[in-house]
Amino acid sequence: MGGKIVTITSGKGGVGKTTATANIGVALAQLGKRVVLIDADIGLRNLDVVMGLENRIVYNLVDVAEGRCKLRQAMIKHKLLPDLHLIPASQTRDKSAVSQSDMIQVSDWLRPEVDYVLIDSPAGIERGFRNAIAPADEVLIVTNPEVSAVRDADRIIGLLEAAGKGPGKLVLNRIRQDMVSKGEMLSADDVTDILAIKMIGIVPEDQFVVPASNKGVPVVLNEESRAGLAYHNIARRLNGENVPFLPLEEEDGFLRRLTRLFSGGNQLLKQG
Amino acid sequence: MAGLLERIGLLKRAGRGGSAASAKERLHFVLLHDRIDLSPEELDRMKEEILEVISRYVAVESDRVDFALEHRRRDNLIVAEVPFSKPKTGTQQVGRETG
Repeated sequence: MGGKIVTITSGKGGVGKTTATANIGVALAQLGKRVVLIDADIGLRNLDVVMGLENRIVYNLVDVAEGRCKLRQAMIKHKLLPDLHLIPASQTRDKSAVSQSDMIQVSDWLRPEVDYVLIDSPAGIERGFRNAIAPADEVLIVTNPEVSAVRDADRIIGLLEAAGKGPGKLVLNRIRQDMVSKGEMLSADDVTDILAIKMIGIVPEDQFVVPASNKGVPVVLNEESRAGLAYHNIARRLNGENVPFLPLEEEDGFLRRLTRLFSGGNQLLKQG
Repeated sequence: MAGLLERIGLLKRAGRGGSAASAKERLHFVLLHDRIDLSPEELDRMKEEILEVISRYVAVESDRVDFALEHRRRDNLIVAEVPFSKPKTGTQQVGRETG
């Protein structure tokens, strides 16, 4: 059996794939799992900086694929979590430097050693995306509550199904409950209704996310952050736990609650 | 085809304030077309062929025919409204008549 290969993808760029990969990886490691993160975005690597490991890189995924180093040598250990490793992408090559069979080979090597391999897919639907999903046992699709991101997620769901990797599970990122309540942002229910796939997590927009990426310390390590809590819950769900979706915000003022009452507040119970 | 596009895009736009409602409607519309993945020419050809089959059995009022793509619950639908004036007689001979 061995570990599970989970690919995180989105179609559209900038929706939070890399942040999601980093945070779910850290959260799984906090749950005591052995985790390897692979940055499959050859030429545009970023998982290393989001993880705060950019100054430790010696070898990368392309070096492994081309036999210049052993797999172990390309695995960078996380500073706080010894069972969490990163295999960075090459920054100087392009997507053609790695093939689908390379990705399957690396995943097969890792499978007996770890509980989870998380693959951070590049944006788009071309070769890099194909490489990233080739070894996947499960695929998470990250989207935002915006027309363009949801449309691209739908396209990805179609491609995953065609590739026998579907339907995947959805991570809805950057949702703002105040805007949802005012009817100015798609709700989690709206997005589920449109895409017709299962939701694995709803991550609120959070003031702690940007500082976390500034520092290279994934937000899941910040106990104050609701986005961090949401990622923690995704990790638990991925791990087979049945974790209820929590309210997106702390209970607050009377006025806000009143607004919710008049704008379909029942949605709240399902989010978080 | 124009009817097909307008029907979904415009009919629902009225009502319910808030840009989220309009985002949802626009997405339903755009995804129907993404998912069916046919060019306008192919859609037209499909429509013609369907009408051709129906016309073998009944007289179709072709100027009032309307085809639309619709999203209902979890299903993507091709909805055809095909008014007919009166049933054709002798439908059993259809095969021979049309070759």
